[in-house]
Amino acid sequence: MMKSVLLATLILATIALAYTPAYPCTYCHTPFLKLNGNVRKAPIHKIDLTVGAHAGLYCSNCHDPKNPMKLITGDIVIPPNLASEKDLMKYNKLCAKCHPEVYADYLVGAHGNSTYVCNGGTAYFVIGYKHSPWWYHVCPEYKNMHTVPGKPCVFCHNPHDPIKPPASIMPLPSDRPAPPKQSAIEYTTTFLLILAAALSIFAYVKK
Amino acid sequence: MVEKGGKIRRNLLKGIAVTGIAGMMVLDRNKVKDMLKPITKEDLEDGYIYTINGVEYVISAESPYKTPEELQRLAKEKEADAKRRCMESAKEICKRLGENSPECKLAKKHCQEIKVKWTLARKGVRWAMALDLNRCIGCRRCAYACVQENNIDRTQGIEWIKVLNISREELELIATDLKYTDAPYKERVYIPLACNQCEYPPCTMVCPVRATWKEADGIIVIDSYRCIGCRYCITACPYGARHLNWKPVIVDALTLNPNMHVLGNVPREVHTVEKCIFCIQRTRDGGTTACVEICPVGARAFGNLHDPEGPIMRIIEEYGAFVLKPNAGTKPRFFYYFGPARTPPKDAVNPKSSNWIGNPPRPEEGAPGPNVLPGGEESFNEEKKSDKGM
Repeated sequence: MMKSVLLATLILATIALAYTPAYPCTYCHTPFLKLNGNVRKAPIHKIDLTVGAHAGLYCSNCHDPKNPMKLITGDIVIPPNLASEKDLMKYNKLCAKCHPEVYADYLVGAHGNSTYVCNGGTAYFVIGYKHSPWWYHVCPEYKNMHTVPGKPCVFCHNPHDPIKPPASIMPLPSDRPAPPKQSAIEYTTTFLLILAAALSIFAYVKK
Repeated sequence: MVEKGGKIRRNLLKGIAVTGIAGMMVLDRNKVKDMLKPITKEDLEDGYIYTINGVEYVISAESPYKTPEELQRLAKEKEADAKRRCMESAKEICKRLGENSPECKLAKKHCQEIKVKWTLARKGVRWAMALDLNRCIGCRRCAYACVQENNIDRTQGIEWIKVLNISREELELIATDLKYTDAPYKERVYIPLACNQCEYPPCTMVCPVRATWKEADGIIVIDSYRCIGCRYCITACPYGARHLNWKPVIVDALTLNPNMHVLGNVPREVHTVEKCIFCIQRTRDGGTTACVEICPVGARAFGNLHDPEGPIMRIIEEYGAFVLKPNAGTKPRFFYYFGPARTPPKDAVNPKSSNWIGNPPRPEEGAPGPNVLPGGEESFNEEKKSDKGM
């Protein structure tokens, strides 16, 4: 009995440890391995810096080699499935180190992707007309809104493979409804003319 | 003897003289002088300035609604009308799905949320948009987001934004493909086209009832209460940006956008023209347009043209821009440009590289040192030398 309970606990602990998203980087890096970050490939993290637009960079270009959980700007790396949009916004500083021009565009809104916020309002995502995505804004009063950058850099550009692939194509534009047939228009007009003539004759005769 | 006609004439002259003297005594001299001043073009462009809460707003001189009070009254009228039409739709939904269904409650709640604003144009603002054709992938998300934001009738096939697919080499608008099913391709360029918000709009000049006019911040608006549906403006527009509602506009209470502007996305009447209004209900209150927000590649930028630190001036200074049909003389304020980076198309040789056109694959793993140029350093130097020799 005790044995089986222990075994189950052990198995559960192993699974939990393996699938914990916030697995501490320092667990491997600092005490045992002491990596200096001079690598381009980290198969355990599924990162390959020999291909892609960031090819040629080393881990230590962005990560602190002593503690890879830290970036060189001092921010702590949060796994993408745990990070909120506010956390991801912090990493923009790092991108700006090498891409100052794009960052300047981003700040003034010339890089696109801006959205608006209002006091006490929210925006929720819906799949709407023709299955196209749309953010539905709900504000108590649609006044005094502020345009802000919509998404952080790493939301669209994977930092280890930053080329943005094209998104899917939405369905075809809809046609205007077809006009009525020419023959139908002709028949209707003729009928109306005859009716008008008959009515006027009738009115004349009755007088 | 005085003839009868002569007497009448004399009395008339007497009357005029008396009125003139009375007028001279009653009226202020300066007021009369002001009245007789001819209206110059500058006066017309300035419009009427009103200060509300310390902010200067302008009502265009072309507008038939000269005071904020008139616009406010119109907004109230339209709000009542929109709510009535929304409630009709909500009742229909309740009849179909039952009074206690969540859809029925939601529809009724949506109808109460409707707010028709009448925000005026701010002084010194000229809205403009810029679009990066290198980044646009022609996915049509903007066209469909626009339909939802602006309460366009879904059954009539009206979409304010059309995405033109044309050849990258020729850039010929006549050879446009609207019904493509796969994009983006290397040889094509995708041009989303809506109202260009021209500086000299030909559509407003032809309107016989002053139902459409250019606002002080450059947005060309239509008042659906004044529009008679004569369609002169549709033929005058060089960009095909205007659309006519052929049948009564269906207001669906469940998918209605409650954020409305009196000259913008308030549900239109039957047989009226409608067009892109730069999401006037969002932008005049500090927001951004729906197409800018939804664009998955960030191709669009929206801002104040007169703002030297704004996105539009930055793009024009940094990357340069062009407009569609410049020879039409309309001075559009919708700028297109070919930006520095391009979204990799589907038929790219190496889509995962930053320079994707015909780039050879990167060196294999384990290659020593930093990345080497595709051609190698030596050949690069040779080219330089040959240049000098020339």
